[in-house]
Order: sequence, then C-alpha cells, then structure tokens
Amino acid sequence: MDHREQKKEDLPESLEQMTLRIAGLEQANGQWATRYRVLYEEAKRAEEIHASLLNSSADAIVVYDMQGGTKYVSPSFTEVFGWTLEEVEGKSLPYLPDSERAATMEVIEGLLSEGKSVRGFETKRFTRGGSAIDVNLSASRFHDHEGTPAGLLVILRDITGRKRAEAALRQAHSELEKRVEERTAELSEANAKLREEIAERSRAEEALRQSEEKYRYLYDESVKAQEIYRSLLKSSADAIVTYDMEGRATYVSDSFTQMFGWTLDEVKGKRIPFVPESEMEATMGLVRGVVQDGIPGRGFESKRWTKDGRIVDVSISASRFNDHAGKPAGTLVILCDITERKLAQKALLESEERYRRLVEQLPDATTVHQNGRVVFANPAAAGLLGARSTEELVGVAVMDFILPQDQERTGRQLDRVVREGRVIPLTEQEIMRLDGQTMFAEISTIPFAFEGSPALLTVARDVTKRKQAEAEILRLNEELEQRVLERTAQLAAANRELEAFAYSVSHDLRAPLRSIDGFSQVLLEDYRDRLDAEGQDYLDRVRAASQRMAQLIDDLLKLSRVTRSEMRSEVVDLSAMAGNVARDLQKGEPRRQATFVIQPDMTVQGDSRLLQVVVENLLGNSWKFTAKREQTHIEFGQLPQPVAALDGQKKKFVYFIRDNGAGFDMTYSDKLFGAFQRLHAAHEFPGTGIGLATVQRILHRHCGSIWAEGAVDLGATFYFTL
Amino acid sequence: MNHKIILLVEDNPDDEALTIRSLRKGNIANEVVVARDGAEALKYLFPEEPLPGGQNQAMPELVLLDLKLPKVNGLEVLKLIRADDRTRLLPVVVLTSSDEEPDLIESYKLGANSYVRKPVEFHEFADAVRQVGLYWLVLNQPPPLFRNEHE
Repeated sequence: MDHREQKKEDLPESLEQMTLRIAGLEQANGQWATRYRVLYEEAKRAEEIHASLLNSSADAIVVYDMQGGTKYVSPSFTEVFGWTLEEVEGKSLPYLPDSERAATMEVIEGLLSEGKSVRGFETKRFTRGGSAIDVNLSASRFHDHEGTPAGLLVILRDITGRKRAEAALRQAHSELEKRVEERTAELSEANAKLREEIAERSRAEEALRQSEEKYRYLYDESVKAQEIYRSLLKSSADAIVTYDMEGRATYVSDSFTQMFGWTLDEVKGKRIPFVPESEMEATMGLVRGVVQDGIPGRGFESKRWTKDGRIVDVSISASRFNDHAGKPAGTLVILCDITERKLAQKALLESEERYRRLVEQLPDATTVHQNGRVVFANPAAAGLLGARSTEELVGVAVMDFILPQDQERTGRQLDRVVREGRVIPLTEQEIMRLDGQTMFAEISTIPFAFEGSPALLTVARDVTKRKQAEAEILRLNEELEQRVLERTAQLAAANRELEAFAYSVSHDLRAPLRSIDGFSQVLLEDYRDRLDAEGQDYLDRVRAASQRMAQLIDDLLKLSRVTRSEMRSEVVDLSAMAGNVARDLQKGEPRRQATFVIQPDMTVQGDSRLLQVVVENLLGNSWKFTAKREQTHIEFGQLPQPVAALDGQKKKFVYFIRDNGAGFDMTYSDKLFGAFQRLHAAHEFPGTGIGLATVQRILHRHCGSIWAEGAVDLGATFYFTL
Repeated sequence: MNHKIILLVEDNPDDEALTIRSLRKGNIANEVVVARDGAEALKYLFPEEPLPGGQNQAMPELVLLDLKLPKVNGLEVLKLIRADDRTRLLPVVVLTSSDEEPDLIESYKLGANSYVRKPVEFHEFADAVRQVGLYWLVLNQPPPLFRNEHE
C-alpha cells in the first residue's frame, strides 16, 4: 500500500502510465499475497511440528513467560509431576524444593538476563504427590518475532532411576573395596603358605626328575609298542575287533571292513549285528568265558553274517585286555575267514568219500601195508585172499601170502619200493590165500602214504582163469603146431611123390612117343615103296598124334612146375616183358599185320619167370585168336584206378589184355581157366587148354586173380591183378 | 680104322635103336658100345679084372649118358666118372628126355660137357644125335692126356 501511495504522489502520470502502474502494482500485490500465504503455511507447519515435538517428547517440557508464569506444560510433564496445564497456567510452579532454590535461581537469573542456555543441570523437584525426584534440566530463552525475549523453555528429564543406580553403584564399589582388602589379606596369607609349599615342591622335583628318565624310556617303549600294535591291527589279513566290557565295538580293523562290510564309524559304540541265530548260543558261551573269566578263546569255528547278507565261515580267537590299572577294559577278537578252507575241507571229504567208494567197488584186490602188515584192504582183496571180511585181513603179515620160495625175493623188492620209491610193475606171481590155497595173481606195488606214514599200495588181480586159458591156448597151439608139422610132412611127401610122378611123366611118357614117332618115320623112310598112299597117311596120323601128345605132356609139366617151384619176389617190368613177347610173336609170323599197344612202365612185384609165363600165355592167346583178322590189334594196359576184385579185398591195380580176335561166348567164361578146357575146336585154333589154367595158377600164387570179358567175334579182354 | 668108341648108356631099347640108326644115317661109323644101365656103364669104364690077354679096356672117346637108368642113375655115373683120374676129363654128353631144371643144374655141377634133350619129333631127334656125334668126334679136340693114354 505504501509503495502505491508514494508513486502517486511523486510522479505525474498519464492515464496510460497509471493504468500500466496499477497493473504492475496489482501484479506485485499478487506476488506478495502468495509469499505471505507460503510463509503462513510454513509458520503454521512449524508450529504444528513444535506442538507435536512438545507433546510427544518423553522429557517433561515447561514454557514460562518472562515473569515466571507457566504458559505450557507437556503431557509428559503431567505424567511425571502430576500437574495439568489448566491447574498451573499463568501461575508459578510450586515444585522447587528449598534445597535447590539458590542454585536454580542462579541458573534462571543467568538465563533471563543474559540468555545463557543451561544444559545438564542436575537438580531435584517435587511432584504434585510431594515426592522429590532427580531431574536433569535444560533451559533456553526464546524471543518473539521482533527479537524481544519472550519466555523460557525448560526441559526436565527424570533421572531418579539413574541416580538410584549411581547410588547403588557407589555402595557396591565401597563394598567391593572392602572385600578386596579382605581378599588381599587372605592372599598374602596364602602367599606365605605357597612359598612354603614351593620349597617343599622343589625338593620333590629333584626326585621327580630322576624318575622322569625312566618314565620317558617307558613312554618311548610304549609308543613303539603302540606303533607295532597299530600296524599289526592294520596289516593283519584277519579281521580284528575290540569291544568294551559291555560288548560294544570300540575298534574294527580295515580287514574287518573288507571282510564284513561295516566301517568303524558304522559300528563304533554299538553291538555288531553279525552273529547268526544258529551261532548265538555257542558264541555267547565263548564271550562269557572271555569276558567274565578272562579265558582266551582260540580257533573257535563259527559263522558270521556280512553286511550284504552273506555267511562267512570264520575261526575266532578272543582275549580280554586290561587298562593301565589292571582292570578288565575290553576284549580283542580276531576273526579269520575260513570259507575257502571249509570249502577245501568239504571238497577233500567228498574226494575222500569218492576214492573210498571207488576202492571199495574196485574189482581188483587193493591192500595197503605198512611195516609188513596189512592196514587196509578192500572187499575185492578179502575175496581174492580168502578172507571173510576186510577186517580179517588187517594186521595179517604180507609174507603170509607169499610162497616160501618167493619170500626172500619179494622181501627185497618191497624194501626197494620203500627205500627208492620205485614201483614194482605188473608181474605175475603165485600167492597163497588165507585158506592155504594157491593161485596166480597179477600184482603191482607202488609207494603210498597211509595216515601220514610211508606205506605200500598193492593191487592184485586173480589171473587163475586167464592162466588156465593161456595154458589151454598154449596146449592148443602146440597141438596145432604138431598138426601143422604132420600135415607139412604129409604135404612134403605128397610133393615128393608128385615130383617123382612129374619126373617119370617127363621121361617115361615121352619115351614111348618118341618110339612111336621114330619108328613111324623109319617105316616111311625105309619101307616107303611097300606102303600105298593110304598106309603112308595113317603113319602120318600116328606121328601127328604122338607129337600132340608130347605137347600135352610138356604143357602139363609146365603147369605142375608152376605149382611146385619156389616163389621169388622181385620188381618186374611187365611193359618190357610184354614188348619182348610181342616182338617174338611178330617175328614168328612176320607177314601178319599187327599193332601192339603196350602201356609203358607197368612195374609189379613178383616172380619174373612165372610172370613171363603169364604174359607169354595171354599175349600168345590173343595172337592165336586174332590170326584170322586182317589187322590184329592187341592192347596191354592198366586201369587208371585200383579196384577191389572181391568185397572186402584190398584194392589193387587191374591189368588188361584186349584183342580184336575171335572172342568167346560169355556163357562159358567159367570154363576158360580149367585145365584141358577149350572153347574152340582144335582145327580152328590149336592148343592144349592148359595155358589159361597155368596163368590162373600163377596169379593165384601171387595172391591175384583173373577174369575175362568177351563176345563171339568181338574180341576178348582178360583182366588180372597181382 | 676109326677106334674112337662111343659109350651109349641107354636102358630103352627103342631109343638105343633110334640113336644108333641116327648116328649111322649121319655117317658116323664109330663103334658104339651100349650099356643098358648105370652099373653096366661103370663096369665097362672101371673093369674089376683085366680083360683076357692083358689088354686094357678101350676108353670111349665120348659118353652119351641117359639120366633115368635102372640100378645106378645117370647122375651117379657122372659123379663117379668125374671122381676117377682115368675118366676125369672124359667128354660126357647128357642125352635125356628130362628138361627139369634140377637135372640140368645137377648135371652141369657134376661136370657134364653138354646137355641135350631128346626131342619127341623124330627128325629133330635124329638131327640132334647126328650133330652131337659130329661135334664131339670130329670137330672137338679131346683132352691130350686122354689121347696119350690110348696110343
């Protein structure tokens, strides 16, 4: 407002200017109004804050005017001191005790006059109820908005509790000091005592030091022992457990864990649940003995479960051990896994059983003797030696079974078996049975162990029957030999006769023929003029017949010679032989057109002279029966594969001679090889009918055979083997 | 003129006749003394008593010896001929029907000078006898000692 009036007075203004100024003033006025509103809001808010501060403060707050009249008390004040604002507004507060007046007035004077703020002034005040409380007083002077002192603000904090505590502390302190004094007195008394004790202790120390060395040695030893003991526990393959006296495990070794599965952590302080029901009673017996009576158990065989439910055969050793004071402290148990041993034992038992049965069932008499006496015999032995039972044999001297004349030799042999471990091989010996009968047995003896001591095992077999059979065979053989000898002699005699016969045939049959022929010829030569043509023809026929007869005799002699002559065995080249024969045949009739096909290198084992007869006869036959062919074709060869001529016979090579001659009728093939058998008329093909018989006989003597195939006018093939 | 004697040891009279005929037909005119068994032959060769007139028995130039003989057989005779110094070198030809190998071997072993089988066919027989005679009496040189003994 003031600004506006001033401007109006000082400056003559145009309307326009005034309008402008009024607008400016209005604008400024607006701004001011806004500022005031803001300030007012802020003041109001500050007042509210103050009020809430005053109202909510835990400390008692009082506001005085400059004349000491009460303008405000906070709710806390009312709570602590009892007076409400209505009761005391404008009045002086009647709570200052006389004892505090002087000090309080001094503080108030300073405040009022100089504005000196008070802080931490400790004093007392009365409450409305009349009790004095300790307070901590802070006070300050405040001013109005013009800066004139307007009143006092006093804040009172109730410190009665603290004061009381302080008082108690003080009292406690003094009590403590008193007690310290007392204790100090006690200590000095104790000190004196201690000094006395120290003097005594130093005397004892000397003695102690002397024994210490001993103890250290013992300690070292015990450490060492402990070390050994620990490594023993650790390295033992057997499972080791220690129990306390109540049967709870205190230690299990690594092997225990390996064997049964439980670790130390799992079983420490517990009973190990590994005793099967079946083993419980026996185990408890062992445990009682060890725990109560301290009797160590050893080699106790039992079974235990493993953690994974298997049963393990174990051998258990257990002993009780004492603590340092010699009081029983626990038990040490060692468990050895004997499952395999048990299995082996079982196998051994089974094997023993098996062998026992085997020996009992053995048909051979089996005895074991030791120091010259029978200690074991099987049923077969009882049977062989004429005992009623095997028991009867036990204890009998071995020499009782040996014939007196054999005893020395047998004794030496048995000694050698014992001394040198040598075996008496199977030998035949006559022995004597318990009933005095003798018999032949086949006996062998070997060194043997019986119940851990050296012994002899003798196996004998009754060979009486075999001996009888052998004797019978021997007798039969001798008989047979005798018969062979007789037969041979007979045959030799027959042979000699035959030879004589052949000889005389050779001489005596030929001589008359020669006479017949000779004198026929003499007649023809010397008396020709007295004979007519018919007479001469008859004499010619006489001569032809005698010559034919001579041929027959010669062939017969050849045949008999084939049978009688000794066989020689040599390598014979059939091919070469046949080649020579073929050449001779061709030479004998050079005008014949003939082809011989002879397979080379056919070599056989045989008698060359006899085989020569074979080849001559067969090729000669072919030559003869192809005489009427314009072109003669004769082949001598060997079939490519060996064949068996008869069932079950060894396979042999087959040789053949094939021709394109007159052949023969297969109907009569069985007559081909008989002596004097002929399939052709003599005027067609000359011959005596002995040649093929001779060939067959030679081949038979070589263990060979001969057969033929053919057809009339289609040629013939002779097959033979050697 | 020809004093060379042939001793024919032959038991078969047919063979004897045919042999002598064959010799004659072969123009061998030597004297032929025939012994009809072995004993007779030995008696001729080794006379037990001297002949009347102190004359020595004429030794044959050739012996034709059959093997199959009565009494003493041909091989026995041959053995004795070879065993005696007087006849040790005497040519002996075995003339027989046998062609048995043992006979052949035994004859040669005992020192036969030749072995001839009598063929049945008469022409062959006659030829064989003739050739043997010619060979041994004409062509062959007898042992010298033997000749001396005669002269």
